Formats: sequence, C-alpha cells, structure tokens
Amino acid sequence: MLSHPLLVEAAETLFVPCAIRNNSDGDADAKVREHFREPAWNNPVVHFLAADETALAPKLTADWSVHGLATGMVMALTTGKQAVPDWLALLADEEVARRRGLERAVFSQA
Amino acid sequence: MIATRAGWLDKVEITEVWFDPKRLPFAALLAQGQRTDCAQSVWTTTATQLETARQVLGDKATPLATEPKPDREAKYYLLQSPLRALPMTATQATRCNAELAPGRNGSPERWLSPRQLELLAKLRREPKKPWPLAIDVPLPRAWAALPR
Repeated sequence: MLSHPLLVEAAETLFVPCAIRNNSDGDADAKVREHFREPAWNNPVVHFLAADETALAPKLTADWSVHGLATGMVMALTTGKQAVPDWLALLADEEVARRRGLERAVFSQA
Repeated sequence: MIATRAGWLDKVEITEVWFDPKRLPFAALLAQGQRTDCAQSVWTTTATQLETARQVLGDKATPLATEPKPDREAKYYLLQSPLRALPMTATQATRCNAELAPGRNGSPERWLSPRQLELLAKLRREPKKPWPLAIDVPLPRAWAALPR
C-alpha cells in the first residue's frame, strides 16, 4: 500500500511520517517502539497521532490495503480538525465503495 | 459514481456505470440519467435494478446478458487533453472526463493532488514527449511507467 503514489503524497504532505524499525534492540527505534508498547518482530502497525501523542484514529494493525490506510488518514485528519483534501477524500470513498461492493448498470441514449 | 466506461452493446452506444448503491441508489442514478437524457434504455445487473428500471422505462429496461464492447476511445475528453497521460484513480478519471465535456467549462484540477498538478503542468509543457497513455491503467502502475 505504501507504493500507492497518493498515499505516499498524503503521508508526506498531510502528516509528519515517522518509520520505526521493529526488529532492532537498544537503539532509538527500539526506544520509540517500547514507548508505544509495540512488540519487536511483530507485524507492522500504523499509529495516527496528534503532536501530544493522542490517537486520532484506531491503530492500523491488520488491514494492509489502500482502503485501510486511506480511511485511517481521513479519520485522523477529521479528528484533528484538519481539512481533508478532495483528492484524498475521493480515494478513500472509492476504496470504501469497492470494499462494500459496487453495482454496475448500462445506459444508452437510444 | 465510481467509474464509467463508454462502449457498444447490441449496436448501440452505451455507458457502463459502476456505482456505490449505499451512497447513490440505482433509482437516483436512473432519475439523473432521465433528467440529462442519458437513460432512454437500461441494461440491469440485479433484480432490484430491473424492477426499478421497468417501472420507469417499461420494456426499455432489460437484464444485461452480453458483455459490452469497450469503446476504443473510452474517456473521450481525457483522450483529447494532456490528462490522457496523467495517472489517476478511476473516480478521478471519471470526474475529470466529465469536467472536460463541452459546455461544462469545468475544472478537472479540483480533483487532483498537488503532485498530480505538478505532473499535469509538465505534461502541458512537454506535449511532444512520448508520455504513456494512463487512461484505465491502475494509478500505481501508470505512475511507475512514467519516464524518469
């Protein structure tokens, strides 16, 4: 999901992205991991946090999809009272709709 | 509405529409199509759609039995513009194509991210560069295919 250009752009421009390795010991990454009570060698997680470390959206633990990250970002921005740009809202809406299940119909002017 | 595709069915020019029925019920989509003279005939894909469409269109509503043949110039208005090479999601492409329709005087830029806008400016500055066509190509794949 982190290869999706719009998610990368959203992470880099609407948030302060911080990647922490979860397989190190005794270094700065390990300190951050322990601070947030994340076990080492666990599956990756995403925290959506305000500057005071308040959670702005539920931690992403299992939904490794464009849907999971896009909807988490929209919720985090909304909770943090930040504007959600149309392009990100559109991406999240599309992913939510696809997950719910789209319908198709065919129309003609004739 | 999530995505559209122009095509042909039973020798008739058609538009396939993919939509989220929770946010846009079929009856509302059909009513809008009637208002804009775009829904004189309907081919349906669910029993509920057929029931609704028959109440409005009678025997001009039929179940979809054959797959439509996509038009070679799907997203016609995008194809005529530099946006044909711009990687977009399906919804972005549908919205931008509609914004470019004649008489609409729309602004496709409103649906694009800052990085897509930067790329669009480059596409406009360098129209002769052999940019790969991005229409109906998944966004990550179209983005990866851009020349460095």
